[in-house]
Amino acid sequence: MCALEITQLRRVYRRRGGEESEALRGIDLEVTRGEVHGLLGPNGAGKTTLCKIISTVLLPTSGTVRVLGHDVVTDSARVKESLGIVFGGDKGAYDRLTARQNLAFWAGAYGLTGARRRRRVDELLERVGLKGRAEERVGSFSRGMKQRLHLARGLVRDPGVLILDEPTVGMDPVAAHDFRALVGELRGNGTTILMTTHDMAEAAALSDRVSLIDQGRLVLTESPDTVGRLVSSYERVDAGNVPDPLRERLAAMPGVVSVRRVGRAVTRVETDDPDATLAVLRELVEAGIGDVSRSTPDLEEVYLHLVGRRGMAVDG
Amino acid sequence: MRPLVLGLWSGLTFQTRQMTRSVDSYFALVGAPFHTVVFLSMVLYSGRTDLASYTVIAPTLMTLWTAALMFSGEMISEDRENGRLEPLVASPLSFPALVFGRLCGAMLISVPAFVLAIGVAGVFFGHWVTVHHPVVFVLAAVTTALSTAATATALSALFIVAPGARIVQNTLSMPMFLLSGVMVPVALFPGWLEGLSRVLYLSWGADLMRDALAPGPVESAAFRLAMVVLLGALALAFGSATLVRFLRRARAEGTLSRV
Ligand SMILES: Nc1ncnc2c1ncn2[C@@H]1O[C@H](COP(=O)(O)OP(=O)(O)OP(=O)(O)O)[C@@H](O)[C@H]1O
Ligand SMILES: [Mg+2]
Repeated sequence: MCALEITQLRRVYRRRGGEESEALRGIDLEVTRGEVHGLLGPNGAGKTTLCKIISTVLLPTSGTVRVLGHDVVTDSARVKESLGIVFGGDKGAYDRLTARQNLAFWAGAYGLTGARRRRRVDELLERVGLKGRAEERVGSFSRGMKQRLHLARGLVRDPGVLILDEPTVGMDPVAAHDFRALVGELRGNGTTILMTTHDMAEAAALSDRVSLIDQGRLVLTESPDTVGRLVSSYERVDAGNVPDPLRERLAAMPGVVSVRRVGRAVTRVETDDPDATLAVLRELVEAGIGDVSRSTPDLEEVYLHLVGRRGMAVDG
Repeated sequence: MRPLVLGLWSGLTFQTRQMTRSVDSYFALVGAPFHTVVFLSMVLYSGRTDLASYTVIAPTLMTLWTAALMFSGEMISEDRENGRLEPLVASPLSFPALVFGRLCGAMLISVPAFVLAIGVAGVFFGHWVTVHHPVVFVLAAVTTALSTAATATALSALFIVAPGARIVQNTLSMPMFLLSGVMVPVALFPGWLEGLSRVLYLSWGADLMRDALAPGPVESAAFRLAMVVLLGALALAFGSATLVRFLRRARAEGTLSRV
């Protein structure tokens, strides 16, 4: 059985003026049990909308969503029992209560009482690194600390399915690293995770499969590696400190598609066949350049390739 | 059943904890001793010691109702503005039960109000109140508090579906005190007004609490308790139904998190 089964899901919002906007336009997606699924897409693509529908706090306009076989509309009570939810951002806590009291409240809301609740709250505080600040009011917490608290809240009841909407927003690198370890641990326990993120590296590192969503449609769903291979047949060579005359020579070689700077001192050469790649490598080494690497495109490039270089423009 | 229990229990424990931590919760309490001083001075000056029971019951019930208005007005919109409504609705607890549970917790503030009122009357005026019918008194106090929480649940539902109604929130205290005979015996009102006040659970509760303090026998206590409970239950049913409808609509329109 699928952990998440999304069929022909559409969601239309009615804006203030009465005009309609379609945030989801027929999403089909199946996430198997124990899978970590990354959801990528530009601002306004519909990621949060999808997470909210799965979490039962937003009704679909049409289509169905099943969580562990239970329909989110007709059987929402069952769905709520098996879901853990983490919405990004620094809102959502009781600012006047301490971190411990906040978690105790949510643990109670999910049915934990007495010693079991105390133990669970302790465990979670430890796990998200808030043990030392447990008795402080959440109102004085930094954004990243609040985000850790949300994460702990999502885990109060060992959920079968965990929905994470931009879980690492506002976290420092160390916290984000710990978070990744935590996701690995949860995967080991068989938890199914649907995670939205803008961090390609995060998605690539954590996900079994990733989906790209753009303008309310799934553009593709694949493993991170496959996506990388799909995007183009290009190979590329990155080299440090390439002098200008050599760059011009490389650009003129057969099979070389482009030569451009990607970092301050890094030049990226893209080729469309392996022989050309070898020739480029030889040329670079003969010129005495030791800082050379060869790679295939990563998720970030795939993403840019597929949703286009739209810059800061958000779809209306 | 489980969502109801989770909601009630979470609400009750949460509210009591929250209240002890925030100063403004005690605002509802501050008036109680002063009201007792004012009322008791008037009663003693006019020689109507038979009305002395009013002077401890009135401040207690006024605290109760003030707390009901204060907490019901903000509770849900505050949750919404702070992004808590979504996680609450996504959790297995029943949201109307949570609101009712929290308001029940808020009613506990009337316990110190009662103690203060009795203390002020005794210490400053030497008028120690004796409870002649303790069982009836406790039952009347508990059912009145529960029905106040129920009525506050209905109000909170009203305030969230019609935010404009919050303008009248603060004007709802005096009419309620008067109409329900908290300050002045309902029996003194003209007939039509007395009829109106009998629709309010608080008029039954206030009467019964006062009678329970007096030495004479309490007439038809069971019936009057039942009236308090019935009117409270009606308010609770209306409040829950309104909240359920509100949540359904907010989920349809996507306004659960918007302010
Ligand atoms: N409550 C709402 N009412 C009306 N329109 C909404 C509402 N929530 C989202 N939208 C619209 O739906 C579309 C999708 O929004 P959504 O929040 O799902 O995007 P997202 O992929 O999560 O974006 P981001 O990366 O910025 O978080 C946007 O055009 C947005 O304006
Ligand atoms: Mg979003």
